Amino acid sequence: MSGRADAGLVVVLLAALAGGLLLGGPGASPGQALSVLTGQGDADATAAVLGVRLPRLVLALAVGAALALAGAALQSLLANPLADPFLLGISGGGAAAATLAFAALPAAAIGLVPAAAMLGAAASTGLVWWMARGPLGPSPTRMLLAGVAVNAATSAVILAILALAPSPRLAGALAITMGSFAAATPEAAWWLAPYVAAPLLVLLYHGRDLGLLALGEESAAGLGVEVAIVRRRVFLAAAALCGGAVAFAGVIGFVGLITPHLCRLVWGYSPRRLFPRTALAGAALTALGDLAARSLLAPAELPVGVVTAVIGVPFFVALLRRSP
Amino acid sequence: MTLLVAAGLRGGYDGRDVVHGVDLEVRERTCTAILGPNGAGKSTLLRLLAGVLPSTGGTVELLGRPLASWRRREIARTLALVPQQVQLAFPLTVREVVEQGRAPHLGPWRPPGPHDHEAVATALTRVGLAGAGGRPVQRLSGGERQRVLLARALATEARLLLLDEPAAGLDVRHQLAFVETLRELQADGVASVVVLHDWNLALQLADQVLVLRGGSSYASGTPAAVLTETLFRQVFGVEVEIVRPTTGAPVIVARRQA
Amino acid sequence: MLVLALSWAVAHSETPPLLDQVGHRVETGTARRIVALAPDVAELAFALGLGPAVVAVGPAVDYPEHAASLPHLGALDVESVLVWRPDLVLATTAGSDPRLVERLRALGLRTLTVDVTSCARLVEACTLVAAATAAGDAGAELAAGLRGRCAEASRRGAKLPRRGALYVVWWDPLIVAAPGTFHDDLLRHANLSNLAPANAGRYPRVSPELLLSSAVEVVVSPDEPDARALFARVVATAAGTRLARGAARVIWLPADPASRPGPRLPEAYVALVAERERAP
Repeated sequence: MSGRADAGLVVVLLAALAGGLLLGGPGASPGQALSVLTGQGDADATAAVLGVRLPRLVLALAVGAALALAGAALQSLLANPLADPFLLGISGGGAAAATLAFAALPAAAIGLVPAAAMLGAAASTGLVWWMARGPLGPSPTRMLLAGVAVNAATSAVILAILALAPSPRLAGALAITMGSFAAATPEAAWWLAPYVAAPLLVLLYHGRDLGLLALGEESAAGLGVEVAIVRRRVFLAAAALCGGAVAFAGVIGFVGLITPHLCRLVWGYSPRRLFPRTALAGAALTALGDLAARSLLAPAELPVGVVTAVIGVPFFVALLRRSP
Repeated sequence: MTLLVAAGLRGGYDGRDVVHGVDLEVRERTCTAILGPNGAGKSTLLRLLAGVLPSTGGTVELLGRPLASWRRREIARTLALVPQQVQLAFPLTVREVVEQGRAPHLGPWRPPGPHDHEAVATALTRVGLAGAGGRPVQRLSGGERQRVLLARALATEARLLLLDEPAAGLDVRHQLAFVETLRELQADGVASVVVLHDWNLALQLADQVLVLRGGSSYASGTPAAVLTETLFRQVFGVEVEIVRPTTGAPVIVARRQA
Repeated sequence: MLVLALSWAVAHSETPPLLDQVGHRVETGTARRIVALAPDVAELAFALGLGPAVVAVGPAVDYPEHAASLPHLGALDVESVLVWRPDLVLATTAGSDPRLVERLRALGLRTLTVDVTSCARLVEACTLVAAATAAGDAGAELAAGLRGRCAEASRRGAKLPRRGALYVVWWDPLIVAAPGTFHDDLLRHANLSNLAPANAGRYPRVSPELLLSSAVEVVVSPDEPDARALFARVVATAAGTRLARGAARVIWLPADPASRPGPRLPEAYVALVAERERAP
């Protein structure tokens, strides 16, 4: 059964790849896109498919994998199926910093927005960690509460920035809060890569530990997990994944919450099996979401965060009704 | 041979000690019962012995080396803690929980091999859950869940089991089965430290008894020597009668409050 | 606390009340204390000779010079407006908050909102304001001038080859003007067909890929420093390939006339047509 599910995942992923390159844009028709892929396209279609769509697709895949994996890891770490990387305030700082930078920086320095976002994400991560500390280290409950508090604070900051932003900047600032892959460039993909690759390895390494932590910290400690060390590493890995995602794509909700749940329904809870598949599923779903965002009102674009929310909410309701 | 030695062990939560200087020695193939009134620090002591709760004073030595010098995975291969309950955030099957017991032997990368599957199967059989591997743990009764946790500890193939009130949720039949299992394990070389409320169970199982009161050791020794009417009066506040049947262990019956 | 005690003197005229461009009734009569909430209506008031009656203007107003030197509202809310005890408040659909206008009307103030989405509507707005303030002659004169310049642009535009175009309001993210806006009207007067989507709002965000569509031959944008800087970034990416090699031509229009639907708007129309004539 798992083999069939794996095959299904591969199919969805291929569909996302094909769709991302062939469909959804005014720059090249599917036929033209196909000829580009076979090496016979004209200059403009090539620019559209390889210069605009491909970096965008790569970014969507990377961000989707990052968010889904961060969500899965946090849900295991905190033994709470409702943990979502964005509910934990990790990315709140990133989004707030990005929005501020976008609203305030001179146009020529707009390229600094991702850097500002990463600094902001690091700051809010540190704040959550600091607020959650207790005599035995940050406990799951404290982390959740601290995260919710920081998230509320950064949301307020973002709203304030939006209220005060000069109106030409408003649309772009809103775009950050609603998520978009439109700013994808090959350079962005390179910058993001370490933020996805390194944490991915860390999370795979601690996959077994996270599986044990799902039954509680004491239970895991009794089975050999160095809880404090794993907690710190996993939290940082998740923060890096989210920070990177927000820096380059803005706030895209629900992917980190829903994808692990869907994958658990199919593949079970064991992190060693779940994590790689969750990452791929997140990548595929986000890429498809971006395709929808670009195609529904083409050539106008919907913000990706809106699409994921619109798809995510019914899924979430369905999940709630299924759970015991 | 001595497996575990605790000397002057202290520890607690949030900066306050609950256990104030307890000494304990556990030899292989023995069963030690820890008894005491509510709040005496029995569960805390167990956690301190397992090393999952850091101590604030005193020492614990496992196989002659201080616990602090052991790596946690090494400890987990030698000593298994069976808590009263665990969080069940995700729907796991019985098999998945018991398989966790092999984690200390596998490390981060290695997938389970034939010996690991064998250990899991043996553990399930031992607790009487042989065919139940696929059942969701969340649907089990309290007693069944305790047996699953015991199976998980058995799957680690540890030499010393630390059990926190393992019989609390069990019906009579399974309590007797539990006693049997523990005796079988003892014969196979597994030592155990068991926190119990039921002193009669302690009389059946234990080679030595430690009675805690207020976080300190009130008495320790063989059950017959320790469990006297005086002790029950002073520690538990009850008048008891000790009945000695012709075969088997004595039975202690509580008569009235002291 | 809101200052509710207001007195306003409105000369009761005999002509029936007018409707402004969003359908509100406007009482006619001389205005002596005008507050202009936005740059376009401020410029319109001054062009109609109503300058002396303007007592305060919105925060963004900067033209003409005299308007720039008038007191500016601290914020666009009811209190800031009431402080000036206006007898006419000029608002625009190009940026004024309709709820603010509603609240002012509910308090009994005379408001006039313009909705300029084309040259024709601009001329209408002009005569409307003139009629409402009994400045009829100035109005007729200005209207004639505006109408004439628009007609001239249209005439010259008709001789130009028809091409597909976009009006870019913001380059990164790429935001364009949809049909129904005055920017769209601007393009059509120069015989350019607007390729922006019509079903996604007045100023939709579009994929940068649109710049690679062979249908896009001309891109029009207001000449502001931010726009130039962001344009430079876009041209350096793959999406800007056609722009970089000149397959799509970029025309930069004088910023203020092109961005605000006020009396200087026809300057933008003429400028666009003139640019096109240089290189059809």
